[in-house]
Amino acid sequence: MDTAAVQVPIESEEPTQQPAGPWRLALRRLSRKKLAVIALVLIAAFYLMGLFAPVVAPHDYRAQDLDNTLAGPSAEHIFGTDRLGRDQLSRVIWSSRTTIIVTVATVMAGGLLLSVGLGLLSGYMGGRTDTAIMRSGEALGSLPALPMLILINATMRDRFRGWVDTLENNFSTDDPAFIITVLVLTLLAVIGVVAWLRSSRQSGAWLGLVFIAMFFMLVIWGMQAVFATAGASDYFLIFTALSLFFWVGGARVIRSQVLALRETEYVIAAQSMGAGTWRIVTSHLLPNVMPIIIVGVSASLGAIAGSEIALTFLGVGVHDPSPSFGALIFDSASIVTVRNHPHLLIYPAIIVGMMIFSFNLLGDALNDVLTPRAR
Amino acid sequence: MQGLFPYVIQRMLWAPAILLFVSFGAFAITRLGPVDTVDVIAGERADEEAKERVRQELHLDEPIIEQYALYLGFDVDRTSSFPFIEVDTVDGVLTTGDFGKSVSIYRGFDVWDIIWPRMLVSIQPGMVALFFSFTIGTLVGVNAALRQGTWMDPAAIGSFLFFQSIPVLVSLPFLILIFVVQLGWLPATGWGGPEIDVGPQEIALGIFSLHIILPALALSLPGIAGVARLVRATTLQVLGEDYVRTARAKGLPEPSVVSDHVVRNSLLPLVTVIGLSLTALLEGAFFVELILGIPGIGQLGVQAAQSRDYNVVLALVIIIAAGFIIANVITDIAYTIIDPRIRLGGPSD
Repeated sequence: MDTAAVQVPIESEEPTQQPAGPWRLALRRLSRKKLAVIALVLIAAFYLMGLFAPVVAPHDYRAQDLDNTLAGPSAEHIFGTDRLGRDQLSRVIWSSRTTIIVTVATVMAGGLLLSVGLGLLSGYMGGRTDTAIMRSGEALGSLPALPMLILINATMRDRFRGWVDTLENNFSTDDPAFIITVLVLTLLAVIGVVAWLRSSRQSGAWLGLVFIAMFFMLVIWGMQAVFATAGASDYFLIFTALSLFFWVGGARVIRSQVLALRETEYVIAAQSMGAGTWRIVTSHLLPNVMPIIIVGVSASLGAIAGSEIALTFLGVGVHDPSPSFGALIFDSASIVTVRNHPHLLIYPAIIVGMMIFSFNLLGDALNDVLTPRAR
Repeated sequence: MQGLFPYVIQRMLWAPAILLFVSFGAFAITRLGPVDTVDVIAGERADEEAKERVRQELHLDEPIIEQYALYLGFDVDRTSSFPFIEVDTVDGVLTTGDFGKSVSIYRGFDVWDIIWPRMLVSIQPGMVALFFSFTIGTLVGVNAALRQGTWMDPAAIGSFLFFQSIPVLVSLPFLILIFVVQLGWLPATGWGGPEIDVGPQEIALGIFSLHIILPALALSLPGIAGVARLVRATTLQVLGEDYVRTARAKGLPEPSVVSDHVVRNSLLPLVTVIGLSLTALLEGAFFVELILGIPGIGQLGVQAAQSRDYNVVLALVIIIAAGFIIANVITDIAYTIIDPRIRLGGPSD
């Protein structure tokens, strides 16, 4: 009786002084790093600018004004105009949209799908699967990426354009097949949610079904939107080629983490209680490798953005009239332009430099915050 | 856990296997990818008969494996019955070092003759940049470690981190703007210097002229931070070792402690970043050569890719990949010899 009376207040006290979760702690640690916060704000501004490019840009990025070419900065054209009289500020804003499309698509495909999927698979399955994945990763990783990317982009471009054209022709929102696919996916998602709720939110398999259905829906809607834009095949080719090279590092780190996690008591306990592979992966492994995934993604963002700019600069990335920082810098990097119209170079170059620097700063800060042991 | 000798053998066997795999991948991309290899060679308006002839000359009508064997220099005789496959050697990459002929930019010339004088040009700024990024990086790293706790440590490392974040294609135009346009100290673009004859053509030794400065500067700036950070970390580690304390305790002057006991031990891990630096240098070379008009392999690669000279691009990719794989293997082996813990104590990965 006496012991119970002592225990009750302790139990009732617990919710009020709830210990901060690891995420909250990480967020608090991150907000204490001033540089990282500035970088985060810059990146957010950059992404918003690109996302709302049609609204933000003062002019059409394609509109030429041939009476007013290579003009310096003025009230109407804050960044001046290029050699075709196109507004440089609008081109910069639309270029950030290109960067966003490529970084997000590459992170989705290469950073999340390939590296997380293959890393988990490799670490959890072990054996031959592990050897095959890690050996091909090592083969890709031992190559200098840029020449390979140039080769792929230069040779596959016509093929890709053909594929995307056929897809575009057979893949419109008016097509009954499209509507049926989306409806079926929606139905699957709803069934998954209902079943998950009825199993009192325990069954990971139903939740997985929801995620898969939602994922495919996202892919289909995304592809439909991408096909509607001009130069879609270029974006497609770039992010496919980049994904091929950007999964290796992430997969390797996730694999080694999973190898360690596989031996922990709670995973062994879950296994001994009869939990399936799917449940162990989703509820024990994924939450624990999440910090690593976030660190990996944020660290690779700068490199991905830089690669797209580099490829476009070399003439094998996004093609005119689609705007890209690579094209903007290529147009203005020649000695004649630098000598006579430095404003064409300075603004895009400063924005690219700030952007990549912010990505790297944020990546460094997240690395410190989320994986404290690595320091 | 294995001995040094088996490890070395394993690494050395791994290199040709991976190179074969990679070169086949690159070959397949160039042969399967473009719809218009024949168009490039025969001209888009050539009649079907001419195109068919080109296709046969290039063996494009054969299975990809046999095309690849031919490229390597082995002619497989398909007429003989299965167990007795006759293989003749012909001109090819493995047999005679023949990478084929250029099809568009220098039509009819041997690809190898085009590439290797340009490699000699590209190596010059690369080597100078490698030298500077390692020496400056070491100086910055050691000094930052010795001044740990003062404002100079984060300031030095931070400013070079900034340079690391700036892509070469952004920093180089700025360097041109400063040193060529504003100050007028350096020649604008191009490549020059004493010329030497290397066989297929004459190349200029820009290393003996002012032309080397801009490319070497642009290429070395991004690499300094990586070296400096690594040297700083290892120097801090070494500074805490017992033998450093002993050296100080027995009254050695501080400069001698730093140079003989600290730096010597903190520089060992630098071997591991040489591979990474080479990658960065090569990727930078593409932009530097394109912007400054230096006739090296970067410029050649871009020209060849744009004019669909797939033989040249393929040869470049294979040569560069071979160079990198060999460099990686040598680094691995060198590092295991220097520091046996990598092989014996560390995790299997």
